[in-house]
This record gives sequence, C-alpha cells and structure tokens, in this order.
Amino acid sequence: MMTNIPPFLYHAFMAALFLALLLSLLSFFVVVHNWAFLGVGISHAAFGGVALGFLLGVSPDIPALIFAVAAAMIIGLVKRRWGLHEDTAIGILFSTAMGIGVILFSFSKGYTSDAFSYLFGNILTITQGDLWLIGGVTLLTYLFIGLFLKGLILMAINEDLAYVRGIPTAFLYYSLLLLLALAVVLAIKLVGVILVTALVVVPASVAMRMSTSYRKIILISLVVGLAVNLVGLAVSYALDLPPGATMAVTAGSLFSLSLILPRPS
Amino acid sequence: MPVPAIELKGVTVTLNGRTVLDRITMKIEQGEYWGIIGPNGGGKTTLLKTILGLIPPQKGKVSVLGLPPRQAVKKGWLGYLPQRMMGRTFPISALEVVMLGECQRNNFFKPFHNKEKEEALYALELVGLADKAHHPFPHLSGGEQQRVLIAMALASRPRILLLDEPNTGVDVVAQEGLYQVLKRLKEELSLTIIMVTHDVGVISHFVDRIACLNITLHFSGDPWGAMDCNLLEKLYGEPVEVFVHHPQCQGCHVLRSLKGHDD
Repeated sequence: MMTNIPPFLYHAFMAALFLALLLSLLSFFVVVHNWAFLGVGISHAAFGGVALGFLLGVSPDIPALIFAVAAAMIIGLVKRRWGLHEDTAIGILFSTAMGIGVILFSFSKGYTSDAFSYLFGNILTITQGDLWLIGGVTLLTYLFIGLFLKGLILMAINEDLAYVRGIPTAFLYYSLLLLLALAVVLAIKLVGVILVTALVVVPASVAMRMSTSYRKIILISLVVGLAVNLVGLAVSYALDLPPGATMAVTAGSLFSLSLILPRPS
Repeated sequence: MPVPAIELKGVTVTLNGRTVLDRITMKIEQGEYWGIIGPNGGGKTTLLKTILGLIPPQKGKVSVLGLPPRQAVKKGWLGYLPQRMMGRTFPISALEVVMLGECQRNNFFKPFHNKEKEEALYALELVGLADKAHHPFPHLSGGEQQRVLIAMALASRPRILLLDEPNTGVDVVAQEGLYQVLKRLKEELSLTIIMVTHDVGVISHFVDRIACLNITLHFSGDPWGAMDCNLLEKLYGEPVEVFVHHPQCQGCHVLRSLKGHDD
C-alpha cells in the first residue's frame, strides 16, 4: 500500500501527524499561560542556530536545538529571577538571535535558498531520523503531562497555590519550556520558523471557544491540530504550495470559523 | 503550652533594595483568627508570603507550628488564598478547582478518586456552594470564586489558613457572608486564620486579634484596641474615617481623626 507513496510524502505525513499531536497538547499550556509569543521567540532564536550551522558547515539541526533550548531557559530565568514578563524577555531575545542569524547568513554566501527553507519549511528535508526524534519527543511530552497533569493545571491557575500544595513548580515550569523548545525546533523543518506559531497557538485557541472544561479543551485541541496539519498538508500536495503556508492558512481559517460559535457554557 | 501557630522573630525583608518588613516580631497562637490591616505597600502580602516561605527573610526567623515555613508547606499544614489570581478565567469546574486543593506532594501525580470528590463537595458545602459544584469556575461571580478558592484551601485540611484580601471583588453583603463563613469554619475546624484586608471597620467584629502593619508593626492585639484613630492615622499616614459596623446592624459608628479636618 505504501509502495505508491513517495518517501518524502510519507515522511511529511508522519511528521505532520506526530507534530499535530505534540504541538496541540502543548498548545493548551501555551494559551492558558499567555505564552503565544513564546513560540515566536523560540523559533526565531533557533534561526540564529540554523545560520551558525551553515557558517560552520555542520548540520543546522544541532545548533538550532541548542539556541532554542537556551532561549527558552533564558526566557524562563528572566521571568522567575527578575520578575520580568516573558514577553519582554522574548522581544529582546528573539530580535537579537534573529539579528545574529541574518549576520551569520550574510557571511556564508550562497545559502539563501536554504535560509528560505528554514524560514518557511521544506518537507523534502524531513528524514527518517527526524521522525524518530519527533516520535520520541511526543512520547516524552505525553508521559510528562500525563504524570504531572494536576500539578501543571494548578500551576497554570496560580503558581503560589501550586507551591503551597508542595508541587515542584520550578521543575514543572522549566520542563514545560524545554519540551516546548524541542517541539518548536522539530516543527521548523515542516512549517518553518515564521509559521510554527500557528500550530502552537491556534489548536487550543479554537478549543477554548468550544468548551469550559480543560479536559475537553485538550481533546478538542488535538482534533483541531490534526485537522490543521493533515488538511494543510493535503492542500499543499494537491495545489503544489508550501505546506507551512497552507497549514497556517488552514489554522487561521478554523480559528475564524470558531469565532461564530456561541460562548461555551 | 502548645506550640504557636506562627512565630516571627525580628523578621526583616528587603525587596529590590527596599525594606518591606522591618524587624517584625509577633506570635499567633493556634486557633486564633487574625486580621492584618495597613496601607498599600505596607508589607501585608509580603508578610503572608514570608510565612509561606515564598519570600525568605534577610534577617530574623519564621516558624510555622515550630517548623521552618518550607517544611510546614511540605507537610500540607498551610492553606492559602492569594490576592491576585491570574487563573480566574481558567476552563475548569468549581469542583475540580477544589479537588486540586487536595493535591499534595505524595499524590499529585495520581488521578482523583471518589474520596477526593466527596471531600471537595464537603468543602464546597462548608462555604455554601455545593449547588454550584459543576458550574464553570470562570462563570461564577467574584464572591463565589473567592468562596470556591477558600473551599480549595480548606480541602487540603490545613491547620493554618492564610487569606490575602479575600473580599477583593466581593460586594458588601457577600463580604459579611464571607467573614461569617470564616468565623464558623474557625470554630468548626479549629483553624488558625490570618486574613489580610482593607476592611478596617468591619473585621474588628469577626477577628480575635488585629495587627496593624506598615513596614513595622504598629499594633497587635485586641481588635478594638486598633480602632483608635490616632493609631490608624499613624498607620495610614493621613487622617482616617473608620466605619465600625454594629453586629445587629443597628447603625454604624463613625470614628474620625480630627487632625486636618475643620468640621
């Protein structure tokens, strides 16, 4: 059955499927923590790493990962140690890292098309190894959230309340940031630095318009994420358009449709 | 003599180079209901957070039932209602909020069982909201949300309840209801309650002791002792009028400091 499907499309389909499961689950926490800008910050910081990889002549994936994780940890640290809002830290960090990326790219001549594929995604670059990584991080994220769900929910409501109940809030906070950084970096190959935010923010935002129960919202978010990624990928294949762009437009359209829904009761 | 619920000895807290609490020494016995009053920026919230171990003091010592605050937190002895709640729009039912209060170090990664649900319903009953158990938390009124959060704090079966302005966003009638509920809970559950509030006149009736705090402790003791306008004027730094509410509502007495008033 799989013989007629080109390997790149199979890889893209599997990546879209697992990334939907991964990002839509994290999407709930992104939305309830008001971290919409965090995905933007992490992905743009990763771009600095991509550029460094090109300049050094190594695979950009590892430096991108290091930049993204470092950005997430710095954003967390600035919030927790100095009491600055995450958005302030993100605004500073993301423009700096992006600036570094552009400067580094200008040193490494002849890579404009590669830069473009990281900015807007390129499904041809997804390998079997990437799929294993995406699958592994997805599994890890589900285990983490499944195990610590009560603590994570209480922390999202109020961190001091979570502390008073003896929940290790710093551990949960940084772990969530780390998983988000990993998920965003993995999604960059599929949808690119600029459009990854759509997959991080839209699923839970749509789901929030449909229920007042966090359990249902998480489930609806997964369905929305799967719809966005798979419909986006199908449209991209059918019309020969970049998949990141078709997914972002699908996500935006679904959110617009959700606006006509009545307030959930 | 039982160990005091809370004891502070010479506690000084500095935040961003500013002294927020200066050499606070006070003792709160088990089973007492305390009101803490004082102006904005007077260190009331910082005092609660220091008792909880969220803010470590630069000098002095805090003990909660004889233990350092963080150890008391780990034992689940403290219930807390924070002043600013970010999560008031969080998609969750009132009952689930209360059940989260039953989270504790050793069980927070286990799923909820019926026992927890029953206890949460009981806590909601105590605050008179059993009929709203399945309502979405964001759809409740400000007063109802406060009562759900108090039920949440109670669900953990704390020995000490710390409440930071529980009357925020609650109308006057509901405020009295809230204080009545707390007074009743204190008796029924032998709780020690420490409540930060702006409601100078009204709480004097419900609490056993009052502490007047503006960086230093200006007064601590019998609530009527705090209803002295000279003391309150010193505390708030300007002339004050205090409406002291009568228990049977037969009229409100006005205490007024004359300094700076021509009338």
